[in-house]
Amino acid sequence: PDLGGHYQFRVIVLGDAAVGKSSLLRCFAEGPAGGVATPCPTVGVDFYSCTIPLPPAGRAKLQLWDTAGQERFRSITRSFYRSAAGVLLVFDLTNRASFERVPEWHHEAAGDRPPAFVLVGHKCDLAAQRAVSAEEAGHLAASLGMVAFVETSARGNLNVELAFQTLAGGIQRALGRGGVTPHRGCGGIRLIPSRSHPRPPARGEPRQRCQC
Amino acid sequence: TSSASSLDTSAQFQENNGPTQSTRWDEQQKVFALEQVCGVFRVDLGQMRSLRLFFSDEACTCGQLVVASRESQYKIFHFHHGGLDKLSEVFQQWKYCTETHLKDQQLADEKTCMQFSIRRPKLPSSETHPEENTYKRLDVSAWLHHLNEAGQVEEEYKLQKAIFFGGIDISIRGEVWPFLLHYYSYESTSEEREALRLQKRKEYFEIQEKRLSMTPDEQKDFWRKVQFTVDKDVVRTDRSNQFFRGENNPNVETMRRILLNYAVYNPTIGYSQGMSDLVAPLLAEVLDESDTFWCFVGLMQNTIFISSPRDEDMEKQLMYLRELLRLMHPRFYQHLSSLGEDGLQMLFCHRWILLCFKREFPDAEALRMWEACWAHYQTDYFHLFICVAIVVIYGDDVIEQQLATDQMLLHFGNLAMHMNGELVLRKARSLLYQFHLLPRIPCSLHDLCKLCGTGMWDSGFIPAVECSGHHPECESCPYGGLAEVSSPKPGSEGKRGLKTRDVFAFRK
Repeated sequence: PDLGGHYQFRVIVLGDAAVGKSSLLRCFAEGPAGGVATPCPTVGVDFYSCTIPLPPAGRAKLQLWDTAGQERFRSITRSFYRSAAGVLLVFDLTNRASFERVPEWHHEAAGDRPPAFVLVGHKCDLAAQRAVSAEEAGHLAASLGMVAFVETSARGNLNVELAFQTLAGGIQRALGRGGVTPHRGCGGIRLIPSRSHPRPPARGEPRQRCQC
Repeated sequence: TSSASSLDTSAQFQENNGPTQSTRWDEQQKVFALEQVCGVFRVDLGQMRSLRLFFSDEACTCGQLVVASRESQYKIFHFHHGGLDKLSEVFQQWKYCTETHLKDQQLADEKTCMQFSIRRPKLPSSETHPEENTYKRLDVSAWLHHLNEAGQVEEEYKLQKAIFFGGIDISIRGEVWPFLLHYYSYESTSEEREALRLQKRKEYFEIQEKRLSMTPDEQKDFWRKVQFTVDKDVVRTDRSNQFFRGENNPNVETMRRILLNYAVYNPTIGYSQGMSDLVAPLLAEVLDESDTFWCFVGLMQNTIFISSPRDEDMEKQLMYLRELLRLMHPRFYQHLSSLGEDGLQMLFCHRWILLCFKREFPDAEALRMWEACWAHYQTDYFHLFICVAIVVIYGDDVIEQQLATDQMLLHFGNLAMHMNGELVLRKARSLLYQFHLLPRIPCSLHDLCKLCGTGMWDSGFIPAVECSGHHPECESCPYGGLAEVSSPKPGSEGKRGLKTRDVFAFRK
């Protein structure tokens, strides 16, 4: 536990087209209302930033990268996968094909120094159309060495925060094991010294703060 | 305290505020109470990164006040009915604003205080294309003026120029776009076009027939590769547009058919996400299904979707953009370089290029940009000049705050739909003009003026091409660029290449 600052993790959200990656992210970053409207298909990369508590005592700033699900212009974004500290690999519980592509996505993003993965079965509110069982997905997550499997729904705001929390916890444990190390400059994991964080009112550098 | 010389501004800040602090405190309590009652807002200037005013009208009274936090979150206040000028006066009189304005050379730590700037819709004349404002929007009567009795476009270059500067009136977009998108040729007569439409309609329905008569195996494959994603995407494309609004809107189904048929027509490309964004405005203006399809075919030929399945074309566009930035906005280029490979990939502008700014500006402005690009006036790469214009106008924060890759994404992402499209377009036109005046261009940008036909160098002046090196495949510059020992490019009248970098400076 580092009392002098907080961690910043680069997290990438991957998965087939239209499995609900953007909705999941918006629900998390902008609150439940963000997950209700159907967003336009993602083209290029979208970016969100969000700070979450990281038990026992700290917090982590997540730099969240939302990617386009379709296999286009991947070579450009691939280098960014590589530097991620964590990956939310999303599939649609009602779309079996998107589940079957999970190993491929995993292989694509794992590289030589695999980041922490959380497998997310999305759209769990559509129970009647479910095409993948929790057991099956749990097995897959375990066999690929992922941190966990979580079922979520942006529409119902179910487990969305849990998914991100779980991933952040996984990254933290990997840090503890020394499997990954924070970098200055290069994206994946950074330790941000507390003085550069603007929130606390009493900071050591009064010049930066307006006194009126 | 009138000497505004940099470094200790923030110290003055404190000094001056110190004695009045207690009175301020009382006032603050009153303000808080007032907030409760009337929803008055307040902004903690200590948490603010920048304060910018963007005027939207010529008189500079209306526009937006944009307050940016250090986290690149924006609070935007719209002044639709004037008053922003008064606010600007107040800000300008407030010396801390003016003193912190434009201090580029401060250290990174000290930049966290505020930045203040005012953007006027009129660029200074030195930054404006000299032919700006000489063209009105192309309306019906102006359009008819371009046609002869047989309905042929008399001088396509004049038409393209008029559209480049003035845009097309909404009422005739559906009629003129098919020319810009190479569905109709400029030389065609009205009669020939009617015949073409009939023939193309037949062809379109043959394509559709082909799609509907697939074998079950083919169908399964098509569903997996194309239809599944198309079905998901059409229902979430432009649904706020009146034309596609509402449940079971038949226009959504038409858009779906066009995309599916396109995938049959051009199986190598099939369907790529983003294509629905491009076809939707076409359908909303052209209206007829078959005509829209063929316009879309023309549009796709001019986008980088066509280069499927590899990313070469995107890489090429990014390379040109990098080179343009190096030439026209070196400070920004330097910043990108300082971020290394990550920065030079310019992830923040991939969507700009892929969707031709559709998600960055409201429809009215984005479609003006489409038309300006489709006019192919002096260049086939006008969209890259628009990219540079956005960076020039809205990229100050990026340089001043030395924003990292992801912060840049956030910065430009948050600006989407909040930028002044008219201003950006004018700036882009002026950048093209400045490019046009360069005495020499690096060979890496040779293609920017290659395919554009007559007009790029219409004064008879042709710039020298200077080799900027890096042709690993060839021994000499494949574009005939001048280096140490070289032959002049044909037509350049034997000007010898100067080696210094400053030859790229714009001519005054």
